[in-house]
Amino acid sequence: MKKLPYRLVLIVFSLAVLGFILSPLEPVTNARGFSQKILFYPKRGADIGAQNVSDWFLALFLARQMVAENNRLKDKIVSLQANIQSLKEKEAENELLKKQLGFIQSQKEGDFLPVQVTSYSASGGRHMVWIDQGEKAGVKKDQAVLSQGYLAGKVIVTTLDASQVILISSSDLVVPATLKGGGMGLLHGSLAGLELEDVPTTSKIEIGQEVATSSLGAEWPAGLPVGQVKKILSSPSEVFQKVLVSSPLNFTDLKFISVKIR
Amino acid sequence: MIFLNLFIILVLVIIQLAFLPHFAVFGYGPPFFLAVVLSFLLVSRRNEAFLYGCLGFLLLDWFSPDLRFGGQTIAIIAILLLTQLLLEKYLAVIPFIWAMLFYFCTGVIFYLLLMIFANAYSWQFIIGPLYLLILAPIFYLVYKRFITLEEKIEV
Repeated sequence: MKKLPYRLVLIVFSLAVLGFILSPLEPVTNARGFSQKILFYPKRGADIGAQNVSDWFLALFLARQMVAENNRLKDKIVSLQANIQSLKEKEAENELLKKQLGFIQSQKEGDFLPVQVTSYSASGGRHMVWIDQGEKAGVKKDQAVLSQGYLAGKVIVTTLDASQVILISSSDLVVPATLKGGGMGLLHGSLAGLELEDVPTTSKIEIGQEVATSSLGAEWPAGLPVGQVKKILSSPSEVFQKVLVSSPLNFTDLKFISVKIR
Repeated sequence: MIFLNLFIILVLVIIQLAFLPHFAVFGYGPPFFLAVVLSFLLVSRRNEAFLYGCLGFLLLDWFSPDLRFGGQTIAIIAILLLTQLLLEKYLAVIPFIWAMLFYFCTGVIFYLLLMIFANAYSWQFIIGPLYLLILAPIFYLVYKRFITLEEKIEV
């Protein structure tokens, strides 16, 4: 029987223990952040590959649903085209009014920094991602991260070239949030999805009600959209209300996100 | 041979980090690399198990966005040494059901250790071992069919 590679085990174990102790230090975090560049191209290829694989499975197993969905989407396109036309007319009208009032529209370009997700946690569970921009680009700790205009997470570690983001789907991150129309609570991730807890019973909650961040605690900018109320989880006899919030984001498949740098 | 193994480890690490998170269930990606390492133990290829376990998880640790580096590596080394100590003689001959139990139990220990190292406790860690259990039959059957037992190579 072959002898086990004890020397290799010993070296790797020592490296791991040393790394475990030293990893919160800035030079180690910086080096890990810098090395994320190696994963940039494989990640891009993998994104395309994963999309192809899922498309293939969809085509194979969900052909019927796809036909139905296709028809529904066609109807939606027609409806959206009508909406676009209506919006264009309103935009033109708006421009005219602005000119008349001498109003100069304030452009807030530069508020958001577009970034790309380079990797997810290999063993999952922590709901964290590396992004390809760091302090050099103006990313700072505790900045909010958005995707498609909805809140996705918060920057928790920054290095020169990359940063770590904890997603709101994590049970470790608690976000103060408000319901449009009144009511405030604490939002966190769970197996079922996003849950908004500790909402006072005096607040009237309706399905489809919009949920956004609250500036309570001054950690988050107020008014960032999170999602909509999907289901009321608490019973009427409970002291506080609890609701399930649906976000349009797929937290396991984020590719491009933006950091609110101002 | 060692270079071929190193190349395979690198490819598997990239697949685990870049491709497999797309198939995550409740935030837990498929524990593909863990299944690879445990399957080597079940066909009595201990050297490969240690090589893939040590180097692979060291790389996974480096590239993963976890606050502490080294947690996964320490966990897999602890599992490999524990297995060698307790189950060395039995692993290559255990029947299918026991092999599945082995995958699940080692998965539980692995994710439990990760949870302790991350200092973030939640019952949701059980999803990892359950995902491993779903993948296990495929890995077990492929390894039993295509990977030769170490003892047979030596004979």
